[in-house]
Amino acid sequence: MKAICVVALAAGSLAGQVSYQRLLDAEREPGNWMTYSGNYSSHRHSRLEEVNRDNVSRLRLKWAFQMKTLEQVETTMLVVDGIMYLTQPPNDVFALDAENGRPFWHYRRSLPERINVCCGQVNRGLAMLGDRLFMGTVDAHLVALDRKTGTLIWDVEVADYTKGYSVTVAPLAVKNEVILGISGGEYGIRGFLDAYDPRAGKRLWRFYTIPGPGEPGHETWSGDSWKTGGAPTWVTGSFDPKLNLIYWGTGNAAPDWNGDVRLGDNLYSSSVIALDADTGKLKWYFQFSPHDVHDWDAVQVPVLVDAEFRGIERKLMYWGNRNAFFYVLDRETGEFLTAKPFTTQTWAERIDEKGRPVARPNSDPTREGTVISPGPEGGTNWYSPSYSPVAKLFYLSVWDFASKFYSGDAPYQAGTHFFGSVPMRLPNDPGSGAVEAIDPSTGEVRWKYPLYSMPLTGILSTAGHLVFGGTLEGQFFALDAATGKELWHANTGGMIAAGPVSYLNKGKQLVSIAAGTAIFTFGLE
Amino acid sequence: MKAWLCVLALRLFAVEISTAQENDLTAGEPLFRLHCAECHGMDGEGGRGPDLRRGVYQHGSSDEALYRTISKGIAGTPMPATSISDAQLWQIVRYIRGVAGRVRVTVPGNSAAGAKLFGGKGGCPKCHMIRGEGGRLGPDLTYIGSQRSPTHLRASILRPDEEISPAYWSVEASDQDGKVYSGIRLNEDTYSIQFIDLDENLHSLAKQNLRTLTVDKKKSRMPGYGGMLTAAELDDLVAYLYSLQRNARLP
Repeated sequence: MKAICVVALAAGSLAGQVSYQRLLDAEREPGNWMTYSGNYSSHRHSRLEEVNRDNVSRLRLKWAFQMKTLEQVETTMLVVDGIMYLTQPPNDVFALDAENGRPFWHYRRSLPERINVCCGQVNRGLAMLGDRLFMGTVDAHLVALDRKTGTLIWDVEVADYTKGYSVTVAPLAVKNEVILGISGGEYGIRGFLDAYDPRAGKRLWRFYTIPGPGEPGHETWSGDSWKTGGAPTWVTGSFDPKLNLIYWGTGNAAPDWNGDVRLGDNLYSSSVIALDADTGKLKWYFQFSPHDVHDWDAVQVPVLVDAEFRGIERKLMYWGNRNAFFYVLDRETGEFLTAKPFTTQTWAERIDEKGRPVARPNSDPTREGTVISPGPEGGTNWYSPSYSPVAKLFYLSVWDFASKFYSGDAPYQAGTHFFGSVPMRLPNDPGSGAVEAIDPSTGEVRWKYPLYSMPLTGILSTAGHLVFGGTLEGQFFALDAATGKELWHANTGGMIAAGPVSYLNKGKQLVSIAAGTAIFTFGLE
Repeated sequence: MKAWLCVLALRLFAVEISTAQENDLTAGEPLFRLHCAECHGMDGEGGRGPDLRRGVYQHGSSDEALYRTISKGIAGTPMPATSISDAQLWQIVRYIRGVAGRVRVTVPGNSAAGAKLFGGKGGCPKCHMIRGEGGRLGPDLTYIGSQRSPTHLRASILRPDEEISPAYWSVEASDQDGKVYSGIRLNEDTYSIQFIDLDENLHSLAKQNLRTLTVDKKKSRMPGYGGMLTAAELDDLVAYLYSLQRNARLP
């Protein structure tokens, strides 16, 4: 039976299919963008160099594709052999001709009336394996679509959406599995990471990000708080095929701003978890913000780099965390190596030699309100960072601001918000933003490109010595990757809250970004 | 039989509702203080946001309208959408209902005399518009009585620097040719700034062409009127401004 299915999947044209081998070798085909972060190491780096710092000023609009949606567009497009696949929020999918933006097909998904998502019915993208595309939905399903027609092949329930579970994350195809995270940290869910069989949607394993009774780490939750402790997994992780480990960030403990009802470190919230790709068993974890009371999810993209650290060649993980520190970890063991703040922070005295923050006194939320930097959205957040193996720099979107954190009562009621309070921005102090380049060997900020507003953009670096990003007001820009000098920008007229991608179409390099409710594609004139 | 059951059910339902409302009033108070008091005052007396004790509201006065206003916010105003549970939203609505009408808001002073001061000695129309007449540099005051409490109006007249909305931050700029600009900021991004100058001309300038640019968030262009008005005149002016109410729809 298995053999027949393999044959069936292999039938038809092989071009356009994405095998596991192609995903492993993604760096050998920079003309395609086959996973959310570009490769398993999540560099969001393009090895294309046709567009470079000498000619980027000649970048012009090639085409635009207008969506029909009222939701914020956070999608990263996949581009494979001349076809672009993208999600239109909440959960429609398009396949476009990458040459001109004309659609081949449109998958429409109808959703139930009342969806529980804290922050908009968004979607960040697709995974692709073989002839199939995979999308998680805001009503907490996982669907498989045929890449040539958009036909629904299977649709499985991941969790009960009426209890506050939803999916906004782009899945990650690894080996013969589709890895999927869950959202709902504002609804008192119990978070998990799942693997599904791409053939029929059968769940292969589930790792709960909150240990149950009898499991190690369970003692880090007081009383029954583990049942509603959050720790969602709403941003795509990374994969090291040699170590056979999947790395994924986990979100805030719930309720967000009242820690008194969940005493303890609250493992594995605000952590990175390293799971065996075949079994989903925990290999190691590292908790960035133990007993988080500021909503500082650790749902950033784990960036994997093999490099020298203090004179020793190591398998490293770089992490620009929402708690305002940039971390370097050993990704074989989870050993903490270093951490440095990359934006204003007033909550931690320092990070100790084990990687545990030493909090400043009076940095927790109170009934009267405590002013802390960064605010709840953090020094950075889910917006994809980038690593350039050419410049050997780590790039990320940065927020510099403060908020007043309150603590309040948090009665749990399934399927409703489970906050404990709502933090307030400071009136007359809107904060500011930046794109920063961090030298991972020291943790120092190499350069900073200041932005008027706090950005929601992902970053793309390229072998053409460029860094692409966008502003809240809609300008899409290119910077010199070495110096941060602005070389080009264009006004798309709509908020940029997504990550750029680059690929080849008929041998020409294109760069695409979602802005407002449209996709804009640029190439040299 | 059916009718009888129905009546019984209705009665039970009514009893349930009234108890729920009582509970909601107590439950609503801490929620109100947490989510609303920063702008509307600890007891709904108003501040940066409107006085809620009047019981009639610009954006609808029915329970459903209040629910909508609180859950969705009001576009174009600082009133944000509030992400809390349905039950909590209704508790806040009930609390506001309970607050409304509890205090009768009265202001001393003569609003007709205040109107004269506004146009005469105060010189207010130079910057403030009322029903299409007046200047454009300060906030439009056509419905200011519906938007601000008398206490807040008085404070704004005496100490305008205490609170400046980002919509009225001051801009000073000069370009490469030495041309100098002064005005009120309308919009800004990484690359450009839009403002209205003191002669009410609109400008949109690229930041890279500017030699200097300062945005003052702390000093209002409006003077404090403490030394200019007597206590009685101040009462009159507040009375006039407070009389500028929108014809609100009753619930």
